[in-house]
Amino acid sequence: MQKAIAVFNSNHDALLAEKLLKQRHIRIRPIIKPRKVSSSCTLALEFGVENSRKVTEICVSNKLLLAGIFQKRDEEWVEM
Amino acid sequence: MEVYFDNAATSYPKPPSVYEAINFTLQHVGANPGRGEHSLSQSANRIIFKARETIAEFFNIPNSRNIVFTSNGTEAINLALKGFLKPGDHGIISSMEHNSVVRPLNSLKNDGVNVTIVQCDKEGKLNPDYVFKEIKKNTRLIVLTHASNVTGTILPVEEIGEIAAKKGIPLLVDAAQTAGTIPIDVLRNNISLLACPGHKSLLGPQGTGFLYICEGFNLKPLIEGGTGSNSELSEQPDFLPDRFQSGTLNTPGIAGLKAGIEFINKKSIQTIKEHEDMLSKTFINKLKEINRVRIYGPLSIKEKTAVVSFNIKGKDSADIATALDEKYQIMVRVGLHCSPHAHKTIGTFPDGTIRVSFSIFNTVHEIDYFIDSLKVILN
Repeated sequence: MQKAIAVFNSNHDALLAEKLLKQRHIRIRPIIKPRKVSSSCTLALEFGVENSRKVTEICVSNKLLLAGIFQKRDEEWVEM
Repeated sequence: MEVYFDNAATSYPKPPSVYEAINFTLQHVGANPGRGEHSLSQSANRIIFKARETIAEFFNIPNSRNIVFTSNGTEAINLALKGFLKPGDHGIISSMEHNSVVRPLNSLKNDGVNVTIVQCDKEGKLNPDYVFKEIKKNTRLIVLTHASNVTGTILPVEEIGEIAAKKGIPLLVDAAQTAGTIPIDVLRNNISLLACPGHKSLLGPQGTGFLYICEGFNLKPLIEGGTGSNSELSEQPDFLPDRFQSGTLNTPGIAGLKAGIEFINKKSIQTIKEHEDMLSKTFINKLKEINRVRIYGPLSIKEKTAVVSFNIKGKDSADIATALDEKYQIMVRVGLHCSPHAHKTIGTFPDGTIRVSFSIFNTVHEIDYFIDSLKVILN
């Protein structure tokens, strides 16, 4: 299954996102943010790429400081 | 028997779960929250996050990111006052305020901030109309203690909140004496800034407190530095809570504060208030029977928190407190309780009063012991 990651500009918001996504039964895995991805929080949330739109919606509707959603393509992290 | 009747200064003892949470955090989650990529740092971070969520739910705060941890209530008040008021601004306070409000405002006066102190009556009660009358064009903030730390008098936060909302003036509430015993709803009470110590009725450890800053409220941080975020920038982050949360947090203390609030939730704030009311009522009724006693503040339980101030005519309050402590291991607080304006209001300045304050862990048996001991001392 292809994976994507959500990264945030605030540690608090990353944890808030983790809580909200779990409440919506979206399977996530907290990981250390890849160095190549730019954001100010060191925590990233990994999830199945098919949930990208849902994750974005939840983050936007809750006004979270989402730095972006990224996917690995040819060893490069590309913003979706 | 050791009796601790100084809970208005700091509550003691704490629930066992508070000690356990602090100990567990110190021993097993010792990393720096938000400062490392590793799992232990994230575990510490989750403790901080969950504590914010617990506080938010307790005070009906819409977003937990608007909670900034401080080392006590005084620091929270300083951040609110010094971070907000500017030269030429006008602020209104009551005459029952603690020095945690009076002193920073006095310092701001030197920078050109004007302050009006609205007089309360002899029982420490505040007429909201008097506050309304003092509002000027440049009034930028109303500051109100929710209850006096001297008399326990509950001040009309709800009515003042309505006035503040109507006039578009932010309200800063000092909830040092009420957070944990009287329900506070920041939305319903139109509170823009809420300053709370964690170590009083919220039953957390000393060294904890917080300031709630409502959404969109522009404060200047007093302390800047590392936040674990935006590390590539020299500027302080502009988002909450990081804007006001520089330096390593007191994670064990915050874990204890969270456990304190969870204890209150489990027991229910109403049960705690009812127990403390029962203690205050019992104490006041027994104290009234002693000759030459004068009790200050309202006697009606509905109008006060579990704080009772009194004096014995012709006796030095310090002598009585010393005798209570030395001979009977009963701990009370005498003097001005850092609230000279409140003592001036009730007519006990500069001598002060003997203050007795209860918590959920005090008993009627302790009150009986206090009254019997006091009678022996007076005879």
